Amino acid sequence: MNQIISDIFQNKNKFISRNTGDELLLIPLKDNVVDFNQYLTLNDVAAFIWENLDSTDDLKSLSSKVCTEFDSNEDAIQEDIKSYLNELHHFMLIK
Amino acid sequence: MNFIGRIKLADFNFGLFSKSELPILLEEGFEDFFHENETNNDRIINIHDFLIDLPSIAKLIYEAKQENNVLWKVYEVDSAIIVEVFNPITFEIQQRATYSSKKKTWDIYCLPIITGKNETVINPLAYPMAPLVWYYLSTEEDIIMIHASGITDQGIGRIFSGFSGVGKSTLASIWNKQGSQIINDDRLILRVMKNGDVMMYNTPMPYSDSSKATSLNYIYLPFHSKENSFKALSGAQRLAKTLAFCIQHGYDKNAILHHINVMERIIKKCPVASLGVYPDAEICGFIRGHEIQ
Repeated sequence: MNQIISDIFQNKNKFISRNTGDELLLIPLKDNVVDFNQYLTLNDVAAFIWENLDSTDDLKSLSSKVCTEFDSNEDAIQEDIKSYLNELHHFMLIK
Repeated sequence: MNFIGRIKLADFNFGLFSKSELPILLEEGFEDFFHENETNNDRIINIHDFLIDLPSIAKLIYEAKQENNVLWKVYEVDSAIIVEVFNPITFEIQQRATYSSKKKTWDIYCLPIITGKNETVINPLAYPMAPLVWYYLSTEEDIIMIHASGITDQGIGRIFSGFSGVGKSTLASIWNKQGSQIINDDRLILRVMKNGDVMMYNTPMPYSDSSKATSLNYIYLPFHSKENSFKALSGAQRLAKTLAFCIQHGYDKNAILHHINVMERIIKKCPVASLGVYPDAEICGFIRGHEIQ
C-alpha cells in the first residue's frame, strides 16, 4: 500500500483538481493536454487524501491525518482509505 | 502603421493596423464583424507582409497535429509567445505571429498571396489563425469557445453542445423551423458578463453570416435516441461534461484553470442537461416542458 501512496504522490502533477463544492474533480493531463472526457470525482474523504498527501506519507500517517480531520477511529476508517487509494491509483494508472 | 478597421468579437474590439502597402484580405465571414470606425481597442493586431525568422531562443511548448501533419506550433520567447501556423491543406507555413499578453498585442507576419482575380494581397487571419486569436482571448477574458449550436427562442437562449454527429445542426434547424433564430450551428463564444449573466456570440465563419449575440439560459448535451429523454446534470459531472466540448489547447495550466473558472460561472447561471433526442418537431415542446421557469 505504501508503494501505491508513493505512486499517487509522484504523479499528482499529471492531474488538475478542482473543488466543486461537494466533490473534487480530478482531470488528467495527457502529454500536457487536458482531457475533460476522462475524470474522477472524489468525495470529501478521498479529496482530503488527495489534497493532503505528502512525500513522507505512509498508510499509518495518512490514516492518522484522516482520523484527525474527520474525527473518526483509525481502525474503522483504514479499509475505506485503502479502497480510496486503490481507486485513485487505478484511475491514475490508466490515464 | 495604418489603421485598417476593427473586428468586433463577443463585444471585444480587435484593432487592425497594417505596415504593408498591400490590401488586406479578410474572408467573407468577417464582413459583418468588421467596422471601419476606430474605438477603444481591447486587443491590437499589427499586420506585416513578410515572415519573421524564429529566434534561436524560441522554446517549443505545444504542437497541434492532425494525424502526422502539424497544424500549428506554439513557442515561448521571454514574456511573449510565437504561434507558427501551417496551411491546413498544403501544410506549408502560413503565418508566424507573436503575442504579448502584457501589451495585448498580436503581430501577424504572413507572405502575400495572389487571388483568383490576380490581385496581390495579404490574408493575415486565414484559418486557423483567427480562431487561435479568439482562443488566446479566451485565456485572458471571461469567455470560452464551445462546440455547440445556439438558438434564441422568444428571448430564451439554448445551446446544444457536443462533437460532430451528435445532432447540433439538426436541433438548430428544428428550432429554426419553429421560428427561433440560429446564432450558429457549430461554434460559439460564451461570455460571462459583469452582472453574472451569460451571453452567446457567433464568430466569423468561412461563409457569410451576420454578427449575432443573445443571452444564454440553458445548456444541453444531446445524443441520438429512439425517444426523447432529459436528465439534469449536477456537481462535478456537469462541469466536466460541458468543459469536454470547449475549445482549449490545454498546454498552459493557468489557461485550463481559467476556463474551468469561467465554465463554473456559466453553469451556475445556466442549468445543464443530458438530452436524448429523437429529431422531430416534438423535441422543442419536450425541452420547454422540462425547463425550470
